[in-house]
Amino acid sequence: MYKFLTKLDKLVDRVTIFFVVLTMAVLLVSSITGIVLRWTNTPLVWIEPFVRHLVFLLAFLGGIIAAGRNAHISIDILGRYFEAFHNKKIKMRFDRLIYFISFFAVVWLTDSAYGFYVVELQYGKEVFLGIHSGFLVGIIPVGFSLIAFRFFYKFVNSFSIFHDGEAIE
Amino acid sequence: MTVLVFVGILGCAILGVPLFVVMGLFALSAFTIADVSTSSIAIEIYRLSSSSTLMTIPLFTLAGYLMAESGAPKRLLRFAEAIIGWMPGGVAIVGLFVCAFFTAFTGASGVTIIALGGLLYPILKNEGYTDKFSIGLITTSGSLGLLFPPSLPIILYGVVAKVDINDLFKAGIVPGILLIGILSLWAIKNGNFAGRKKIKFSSAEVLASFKGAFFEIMLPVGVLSGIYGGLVTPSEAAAFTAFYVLLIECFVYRDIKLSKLPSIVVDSTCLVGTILLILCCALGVTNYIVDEEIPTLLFEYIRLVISNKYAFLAFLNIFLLVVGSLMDIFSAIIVVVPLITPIAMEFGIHPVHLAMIFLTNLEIGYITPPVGINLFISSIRFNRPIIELYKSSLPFLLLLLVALIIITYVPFISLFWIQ
Repeated sequence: MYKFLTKLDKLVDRVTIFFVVLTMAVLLVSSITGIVLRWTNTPLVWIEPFVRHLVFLLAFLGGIIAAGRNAHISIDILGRYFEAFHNKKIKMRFDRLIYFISFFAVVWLTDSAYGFYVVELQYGKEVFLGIHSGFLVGIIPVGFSLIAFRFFYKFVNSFSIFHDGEAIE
Repeated sequence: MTVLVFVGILGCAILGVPLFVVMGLFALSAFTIADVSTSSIAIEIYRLSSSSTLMTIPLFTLAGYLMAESGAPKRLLRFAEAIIGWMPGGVAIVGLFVCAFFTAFTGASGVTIIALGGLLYPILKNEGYTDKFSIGLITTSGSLGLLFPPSLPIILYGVVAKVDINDLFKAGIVPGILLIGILSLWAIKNGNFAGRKKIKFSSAEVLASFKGAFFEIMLPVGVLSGIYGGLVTPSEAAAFTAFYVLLIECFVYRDIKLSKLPSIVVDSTCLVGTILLILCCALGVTNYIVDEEIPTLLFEYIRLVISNKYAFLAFLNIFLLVVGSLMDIFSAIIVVVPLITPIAMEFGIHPVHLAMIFLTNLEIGYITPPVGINLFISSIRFNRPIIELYKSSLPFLLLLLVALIIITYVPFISLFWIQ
């Protein structure tokens, strides 16, 4: 089970990295194209909402990467305190609790986003290039569920490290 | 019960739970308690996709990360040293300017200290500066350019407070120069130049270093003249900046191999994701705060204790310094701005002036003990105990506080280009 979760986490990481690079490349090319077309008085109406949604997608992709790297911004007064005074054991227990709370909260966020997604599929409208707003709203529950998975994996992983004793040393 | 829930969420924040999770939990709990569907939070989150200013954030961040990974720090240092390196304290002033330039593009995410710290430290030591001064200066410089365009915190402040970003860009220039000016005077005063190897001014070196860093020197000139010349909007300037930096660093200077590009893109997106997710979840909280009229209640409470604008400004500075030392600048902007802005308006403070006070405080917060983030980054970068960093940064902290008082009580500094 643990090995499966590790493989799945690595897969999520690789796929996310691929999409990050792809999305950023498309974002860059589309925004430059949009500006040039506007200057030449031949603007494409769909480019602007397309670019805005790419940024929205990037927010979640970056969030998934950050969850895997423990790079999410936090106040972390206690964590820094324990790190500064080299109390790794307590720091690790705090981290485990943080992963658990984060997993729980992000699952709740996923659920609330799924509710909106279902409603939007039913009552939404076309936003650009024939794409229905329901699909675009789908970025939120999918993004949150992947972030939730990464927190869950971190939580499970914290036990394995603890038993190996690596992080305690 | 409600109080217990919110105390628990506050506890999560202190424990170190990611701030977007804390915000999300707060919004979910508040809506559940108020018997409103939690789907409203997702509706607020999706609202973010309608903001056109938002695209400036990933694009300027990418440009900053690309420059930090390239040889730009070396080239810019060489150019700045050629211009003012000959004067006593010139090298330290060079460091201040180059760090400010970098921070304006990287948003004080610690990249400046990592990218420039190793280059600047030996140069400063060579100039006869003490170890304490050199480390203090580099630690302080890590957040020095926050008030200069196109800094990420300025853009984020504009998005959250709904203030025109063009105005904020203009307003930040003079206060930013004031901060550098005060630190420059301190650098001149502190130099031990007796045994200093004199650097002669050489116009040939100025020209050679200018040629070397030409494309990077032109970047802020291009961004500012593009925006204020009416050629491009800030969002368009961000797209051009990212594209331009990508071209020059990969194909002109060839500092960055194409194979390294994906990892830089991923690193910059990671930062963008963390900021935007907080913003997403904070929108739900803001919605709740507005519905419950919390700023109005807070204002009425503050009015009981504080009766005039100047006392409020003093209170605001103390409050923001504490916030700045405890919270990251991006989260502080997202969390505190919606609460403070309406109250400051009631006291008659100009929104742009408030932005400058706010950002200067948070800039100082980066080096304010016990948990200013620059102190920790420098501690890791230079392998020094955190207590040593507290001592090294203290004089700089005091000087920046003097600058903060000037910025707070002389609004003209922030507003003369706006009004």
